Amino acid sequence: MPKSRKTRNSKKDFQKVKFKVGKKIQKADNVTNISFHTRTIQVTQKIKTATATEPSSKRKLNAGELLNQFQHYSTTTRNDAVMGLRELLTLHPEAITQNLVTVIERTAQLFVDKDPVVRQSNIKLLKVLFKGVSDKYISPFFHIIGIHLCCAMTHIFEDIQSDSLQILDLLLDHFPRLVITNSNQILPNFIEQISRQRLGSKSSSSALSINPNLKMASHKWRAKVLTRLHKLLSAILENDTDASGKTSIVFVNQGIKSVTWEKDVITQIQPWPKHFISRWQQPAFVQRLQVNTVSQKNPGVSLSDEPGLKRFVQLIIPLLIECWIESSSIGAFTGKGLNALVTADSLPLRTSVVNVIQLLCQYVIKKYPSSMTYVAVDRSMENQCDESDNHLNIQNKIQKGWLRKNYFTDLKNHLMKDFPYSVHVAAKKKEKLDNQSMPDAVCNLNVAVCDIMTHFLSGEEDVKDKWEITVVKYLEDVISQNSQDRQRTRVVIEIINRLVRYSKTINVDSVVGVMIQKYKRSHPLSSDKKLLFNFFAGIVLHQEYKQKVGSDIIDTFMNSLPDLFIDMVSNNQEMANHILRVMKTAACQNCWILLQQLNKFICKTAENGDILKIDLHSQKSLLELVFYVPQLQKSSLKLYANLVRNEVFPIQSALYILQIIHHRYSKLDHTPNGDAEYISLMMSVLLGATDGEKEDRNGCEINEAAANSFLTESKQWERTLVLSEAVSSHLTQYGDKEQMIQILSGFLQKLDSSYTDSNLISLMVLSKQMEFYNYPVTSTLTGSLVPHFWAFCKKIIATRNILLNDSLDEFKNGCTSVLQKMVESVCCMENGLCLLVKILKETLHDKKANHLELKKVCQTGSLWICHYDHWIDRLKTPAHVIPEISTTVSLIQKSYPELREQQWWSDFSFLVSRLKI
Amino acid sequence: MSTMQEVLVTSDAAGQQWNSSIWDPVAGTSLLTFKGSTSAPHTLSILNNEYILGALPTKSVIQVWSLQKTDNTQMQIVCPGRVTSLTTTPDGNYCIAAVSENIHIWQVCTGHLLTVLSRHYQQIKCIKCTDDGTCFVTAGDDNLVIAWNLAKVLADCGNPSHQVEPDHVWSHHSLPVTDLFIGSGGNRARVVSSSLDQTCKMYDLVSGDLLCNLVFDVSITSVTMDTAEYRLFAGGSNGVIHCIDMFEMPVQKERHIEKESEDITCFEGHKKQVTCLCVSINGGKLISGSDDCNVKIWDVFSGQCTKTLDHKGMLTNVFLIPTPPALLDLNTPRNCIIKPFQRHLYIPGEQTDESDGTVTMMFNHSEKMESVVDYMSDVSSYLSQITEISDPEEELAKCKEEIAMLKSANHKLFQFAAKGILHQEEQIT
Repeated sequence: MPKSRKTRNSKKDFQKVKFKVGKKIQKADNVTNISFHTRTIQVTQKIKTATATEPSSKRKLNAGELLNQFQHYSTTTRNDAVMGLRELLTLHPEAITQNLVTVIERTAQLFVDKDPVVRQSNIKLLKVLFKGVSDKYISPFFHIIGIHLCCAMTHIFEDIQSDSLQILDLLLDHFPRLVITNSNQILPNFIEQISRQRLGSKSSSSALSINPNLKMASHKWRAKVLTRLHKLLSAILENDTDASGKTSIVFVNQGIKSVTWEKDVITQIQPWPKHFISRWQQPAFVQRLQVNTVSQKNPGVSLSDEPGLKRFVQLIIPLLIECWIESSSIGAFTGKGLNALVTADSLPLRTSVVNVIQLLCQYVIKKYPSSMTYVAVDRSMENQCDESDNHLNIQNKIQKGWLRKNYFTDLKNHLMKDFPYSVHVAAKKKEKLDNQSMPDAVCNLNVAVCDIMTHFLSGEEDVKDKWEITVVKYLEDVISQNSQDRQRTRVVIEIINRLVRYSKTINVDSVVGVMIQKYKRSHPLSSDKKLLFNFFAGIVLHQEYKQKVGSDIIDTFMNSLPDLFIDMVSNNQEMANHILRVMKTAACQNCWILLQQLNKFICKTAENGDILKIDLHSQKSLLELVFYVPQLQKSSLKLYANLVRNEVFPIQSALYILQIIHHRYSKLDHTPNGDAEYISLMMSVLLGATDGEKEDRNGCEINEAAANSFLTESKQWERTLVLSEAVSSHLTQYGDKEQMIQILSGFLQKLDSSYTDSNLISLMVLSKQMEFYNYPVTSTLTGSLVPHFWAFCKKIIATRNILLNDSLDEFKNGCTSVLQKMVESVCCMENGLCLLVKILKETLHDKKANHLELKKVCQTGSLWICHYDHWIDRLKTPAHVIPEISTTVSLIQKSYPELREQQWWSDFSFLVSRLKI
Repeated sequence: MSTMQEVLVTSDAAGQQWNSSIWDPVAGTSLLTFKGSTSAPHTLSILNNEYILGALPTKSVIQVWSLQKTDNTQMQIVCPGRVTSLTTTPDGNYCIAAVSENIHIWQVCTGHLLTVLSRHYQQIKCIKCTDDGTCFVTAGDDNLVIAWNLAKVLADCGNPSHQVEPDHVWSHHSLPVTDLFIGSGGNRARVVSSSLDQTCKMYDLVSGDLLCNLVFDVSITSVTMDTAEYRLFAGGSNGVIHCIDMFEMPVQKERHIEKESEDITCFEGHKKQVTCLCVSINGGKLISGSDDCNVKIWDVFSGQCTKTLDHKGMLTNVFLIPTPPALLDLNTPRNCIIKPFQRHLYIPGEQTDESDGTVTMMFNHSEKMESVVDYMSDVSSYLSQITEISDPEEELAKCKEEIAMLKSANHKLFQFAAKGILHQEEQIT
């Protein structure tokens, strides 16, 4: 039988393969090739479908898709979606507003997500989201957030509860206003986190709850919740700051339309009261929907209306007091007196309890000040009223004092029992680091307790309470310590402020004395100084409170002001302005101590140039102080004059101080002596130093050098012009005009006749305004001035300064008219024609004389001659003058033949030829 | 003379010819003069259209003249101090005067000093009362403008411990306030104050808001507005009267540049500071008094000075009043009683000197009734024009009947109440 193929094959199959050393084993056919390397491939992006215009995350998912995944059953997907949306929103903030509805709905749902990771990333998403959205956009959806937040806060899982606090934090950071308006929704649930309603009793009372399953110690948890409450209240208070001006002195209103009147410009203004304007600015009728989560029979608590607030206070204060009692037992010290020791464990809870009460007091008082008022029973009032009125009255009274009535004794008993608190350093914990900060924290706690208690001071007239003395004593200690804590100092000062204002029984002298010491000691630039300054300014300037502090304190404070201002000028402008305002108010109130120093102070600022450092507005208010200086001295007047003439000094301020001095003298010091001082001041402003002292002379020479070149300097020119106009107008208004002119002419004649250009300008303006030429008294003065003016006129006409063109032209016209008038008046005084001859001769000799100049001369000359005709009967002119004129005229004509064609020249020569003796 | 709507009252500091004088502002003629000494600025005041009051600048005396021509009697009332500013309420019941920094309020018909307010720190320069007499505003050298509610101020008078808080204290000015103006509208009026700090400030009396701040280039010594409060006039210390429009033109789509505006921005003519300003009731005439001894009457719209009334001294008071009936008709009955002002604070219930606790008061019933009837006839004629109601005479008669009925009912009510009260008292006793 032949061997079957099968057997042959099978043999082959089972043939033993011999392996030899050194030869590689042949691999079997079916061996898997493992020579390749593997790497994981992550498909991080979709190969995308969406259009490029739509913003999408890295994974090319757009917002809609991401939001869909928010509800995915898998936690990873949800988490990814949340992260993706966060990324999307950071990259494309504009995408937020497009999808706000869905974004908010979906994110809100995740508040109660079971997975902690998702919740955490959701919070991160919210951070981004809230940053990019304004109050206005979120407000329509806020109730959704609120409802979900409430869900989270009341959730049975405590980690969801604790995460909900983080969300609340975020909301408070970004939308405090909305949280306040929706407080009736959030607050009750919030409080329930640490309490539970007492079973069987009325709904308004509740007790602290203890959950033994909590991971955290219950007092820590409470502290945590109370910190949030504290935050909420402080957010409310911050947002309300504009609502009521708690500051004692409101100096300047911002945002008031200020309209400046200008000549020849029609000024139109339509003023409206603020409440009108606010109606325009938000014309829509907005009614906030109050979503009341609590059923009708159990009215909710809220922070925005009084009954709600009252209920809230009713709910929270007992709880807080319970917390306080509990916290005192934490340190395991029981027994009398030992409560005063605060351990590190109980400190956070105590602090937050006290802080919450503190803020609550502040808020309630701010909103409803009547809640604190002490209601004395007034029999006589009640008798007078009708029955219905009486009923109303009583109701009013009950409402008025509710806060004080209900809680004052409770708070006093608990908080003040062991006051002041001190640190207890537990022996075991000595090595802990935070021991350092303990005394500070306890100190803050004590101060906060003081703050709460002093809120209950207002207007009480009954017997001195022991606690008040303790508080005052403690505060004294706190101030005298050198603490760096600014916040604490602020609170302490507030408390003392309240003490001074409201307490009728406590003697505050010693505390205020300590404060003034501290005020004196502290560095001018420190914040303490500023706080204390504000405190004293508020007290000292108030009519009533002023009497409560000793006069020596007021004196010390007032005495410190001038020096403080000088310190502040270069460092802190704002503060300097504030000081100025305080000084001015004090000056208005006739504060004698300040008034005595005022003159010295103003002179000092003017001398050392401080006055140039401050802005225009404060300069004005500084100068206004001049009005209140009791006795203006000559030396200081000289200083003011120098100041006004100083080119660096702004012209507006210069004019202002002139005006102030003018009013000052025309009102108060209208005595011969005062008049003399006033005139000499005005003249020294006008003409520079006039009293002929040598030192001043030296200064004057330098000035002269400048003054002669000033025709080319527009600034100086304008300044001189404006100043002299102001001075002249003041002089015309001061007293009787004729007398004034007499005095002035006497004054001017005494001066030597070397006028500088600027002096001439001033004199020109002065004579224009005062109309010197109309008064016979001044004839000699006018006579002596005319040649000077003449020369000056020529100079001006010759000057061509492009910068000055307009004002110069105007001035030229003014000059010629004044000159004409003066000449007219002089002409009547006989020597007019002689003058004309002299001037004509001058022009002849002056080779450079141009036509324009000659024209002016001739025009004036024609006028003169006309007048001469008019006056000829009365006056005797030297006979030689008239021939002299005609010869000169002919001479001029010879040297300038081209003049013949000019009309004015022919007119003039005609007149001259007609001139008869 | 019967066509005269308003008369002008002026006084100057010289007092050579007269203390104060009443002028016809249209004709510029003097109608009546009051002799004797001079009156200090902001102290001349008309009381109940029957008397004119003015305080001496140097002595602590208020002079009182009757507005009736025939009556030349002059009364002098001694005050606790030199009066720096004075005003009377429109109803003529109270006289408010500033003695340096204190405000004294007297009841005119009894002379009781009802209260003394001290809130200012320095001399008070100006007191003005609103047109309905509910509020008054004071301003002084201490830069403060203070608004008071008269009812609040007088509410608890006689109780020395009672502290009166003013309605508003405005401390925006930085130099002494020189003048005040109160618009129409009672306690809803607008108040304008002018000051040496070159500004005028306008306040809302009801809310206390600062409405606007007008800045000028000189110190402002007087301020006023026209009746409709369309324009504000501010007299400067350099004699220029500035004008500011208190309305805004509607926005025009096209503006023609060549068109020159014809509105007036200032009135120039006075040489020295303008101390007094007033505007006629129709808003067409501005009257100004200045330290240059002139009263000028200006046309508001053209800016022209239409008349100048020369005086012998600096003007201290210039104001317009509706023509008092006493001036026209010599037989107008007297309704107002003035008793000398007391120096001591009146304490209710305390019997002082000879007065037996009764107060003599006279009400101008007759005049009031007449005016009501006049008004009714006006209304009825108006109605008859529109609806053609039969006869205005008949209507008038009806109205009169109605009034008579009301009066009798009122009387009955009063009788009943009086009886009730008396009866009650009897029972008690």
